[in-house]
Amino acid sequence: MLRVSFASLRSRAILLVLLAILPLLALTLYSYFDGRARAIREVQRDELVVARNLATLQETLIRTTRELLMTLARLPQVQRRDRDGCNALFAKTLTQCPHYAALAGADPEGQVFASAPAVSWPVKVTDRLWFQKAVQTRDFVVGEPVLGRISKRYSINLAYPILDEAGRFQGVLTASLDLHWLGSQLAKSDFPRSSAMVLTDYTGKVLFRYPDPMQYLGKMLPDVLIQAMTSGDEGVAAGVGLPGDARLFAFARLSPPWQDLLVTIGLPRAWAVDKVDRDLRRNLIWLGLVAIMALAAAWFGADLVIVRPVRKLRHLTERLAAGDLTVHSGPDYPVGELGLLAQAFDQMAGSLQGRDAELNRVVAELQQRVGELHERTAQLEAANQELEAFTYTVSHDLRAPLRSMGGFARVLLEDYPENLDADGQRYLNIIHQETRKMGQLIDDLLALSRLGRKELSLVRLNMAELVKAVFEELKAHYSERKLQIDIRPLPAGLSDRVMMRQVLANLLDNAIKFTQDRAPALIEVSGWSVPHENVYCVKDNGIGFDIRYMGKLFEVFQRLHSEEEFAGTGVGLAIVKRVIDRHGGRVWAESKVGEGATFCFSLPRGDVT
Amino acid sequence: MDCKDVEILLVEDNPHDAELTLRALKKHNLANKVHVAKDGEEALNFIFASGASAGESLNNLKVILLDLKLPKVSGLEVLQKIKEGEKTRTIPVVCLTSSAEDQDVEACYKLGANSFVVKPVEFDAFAKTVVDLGFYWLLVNKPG
Repeated sequence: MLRVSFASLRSRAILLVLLAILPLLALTLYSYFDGRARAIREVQRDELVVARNLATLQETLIRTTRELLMTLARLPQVQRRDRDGCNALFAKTLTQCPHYAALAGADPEGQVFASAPAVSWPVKVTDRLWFQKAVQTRDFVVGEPVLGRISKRYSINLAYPILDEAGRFQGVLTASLDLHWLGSQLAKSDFPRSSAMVLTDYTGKVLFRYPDPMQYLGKMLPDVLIQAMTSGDEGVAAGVGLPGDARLFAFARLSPPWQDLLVTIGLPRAWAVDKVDRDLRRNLIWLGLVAIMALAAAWFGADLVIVRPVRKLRHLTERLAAGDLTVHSGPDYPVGELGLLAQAFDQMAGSLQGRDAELNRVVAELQQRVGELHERTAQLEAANQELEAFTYTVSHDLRAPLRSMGGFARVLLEDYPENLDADGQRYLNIIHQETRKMGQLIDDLLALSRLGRKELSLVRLNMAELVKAVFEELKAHYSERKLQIDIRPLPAGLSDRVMMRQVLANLLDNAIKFTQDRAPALIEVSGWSVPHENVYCVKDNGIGFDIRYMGKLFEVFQRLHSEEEFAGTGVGLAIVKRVIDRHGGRVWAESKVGEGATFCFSLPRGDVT
Repeated sequence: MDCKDVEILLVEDNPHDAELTLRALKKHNLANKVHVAKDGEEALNFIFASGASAGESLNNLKVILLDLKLPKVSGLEVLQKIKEGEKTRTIPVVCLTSSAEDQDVEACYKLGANSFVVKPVEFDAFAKTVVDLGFYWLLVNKPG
């Protein structure tokens, strides 16, 4: 029952539900990918803001430091290079400015005379580039990120020369911008701990990184970032970060004159899309639940609303097929297509019932007819039997009186000639002749009736041979006549031999009789095949007959010539017609008065080709 | 006439037919030795109940003209009896009937008839048939 196939209604319902859910799924996935991209963009935007802020902050810090240094450089302690005074001054400044890693003053030889934090050992700064540059330019200098000797922290040294009232170079004042502090500003944003701030030069070389500066110092930024940096002062990018994970970046260049410095913020891509991913998971779970519920609903709903009614109808149909014509799906029909189907089914069942009843009626009627037919057949058979007996009686009982009549008429003629005058004798002769004729009539009638009742035994006959044999027999009766017969090739005929003999005898005898004025009498027998039949014709050059009376030609006792002209009782052709009819063939004739006659008949070929 | 003189036994129930037959035979001097039996019973009586000297008295019987359609005992029965009887079996029997339609033809020959003749309606032919029979069986045929 659980076999899955795509043809069952339930499977189809489920398929439909799945098809409906697919768009939802597609939508969910689409919004996920879209959200992801958007999240990335948003994060990058935020990063950019932070980068920009940090860059601005740095610029501000540099500027304010410049002011500070300028101010400090004019202070008497600094001018005098008063160690203790400067230490105290620097220390106080440092506590107020957490963004400085250190503050220090150096004499023109590069020897640090005061600093905060204070150091107990001498520190020389002659090698520092900022010092050299400050000495050289006697102006404000921004150094490169270095690890401070005094502060021990990564910082950018900003320096300002100390000049007395006379303008004589007395030393250099420097403040170290604490890059750590700068980097820690990152924590003020929402960004995760895995985010980083990188300070680079314009080539993309890492000058400082917060956190983990040691690890990445001197390394190059990812190519994708460097590429982006060449095309603008700020921007975003995405790629593989320095730690090796997928990261999102934003960078901002410091404004001139410090445009060689760039601030880059980077954080893991995973953090950016994390929320979106979680949302997707949640949506997919909900969608999955909804899908399962919908499928379950489809499964059971389909069963209830579709499969059950269909099954019910199927059972009814099976019962109908098995022969129970009284089935019906009920007077109540559900709405919709199934209801229409049920209605149609009931209509069909009703119509079948009606037809079945009709069929039964017809069958009963047929049976009755068959019964009647049997009766008729029995009646006919009985009638036939009676006819046989009748014929038998006729042939005996009618003949005997005829014999007497004819015989005694003859006796009278022979024994009492002196009592009879010429007329009397003529009368008696007539009586005698008529009895003879009656005898002939009886014989002919009996022959005709016999032909109607006898069973046909069909054989394949050589018609030409039969014609020849019959003609030879007849010729013997007409020895004084000049008879000429032309027997053409005849197709073999399928018929009863005895009856066909009779037919040919009658036709040939007629031909001979009606050519009695011709010398020689020409008789032609021909035959040919047509589809399904063979046709045979007997043609003579006798006196013919009037074609207008052809209808009567084949009827019993109908004659178209008087008896004085031609002998015969008129039953010969009737016999021919009867025999041919029984064989399933046809008879017909053509003639022109004075130009002979042609009598034809057809025989069905049956299996004979 | 005496039994032993009978040369022809005519078994015929129709008196007219009998009369015409006798007349024909008479014309050819064959009639003086004809005995007529009117039905089968008479015929059998004549043949079989002719006294102790039946064998002798029927010595001259050359032929029996037997009409098949007889009252009481039918022609076929008579024929059968004749052909069963030891002394009578050898007597030639000619069956006569009105029409050749008879299925009796075969029956007659089966029972041993010597000849079967149809009685023609036309008197001339009828008479000729009778005379021919008489000539043949009386004069031409060699009896057994």
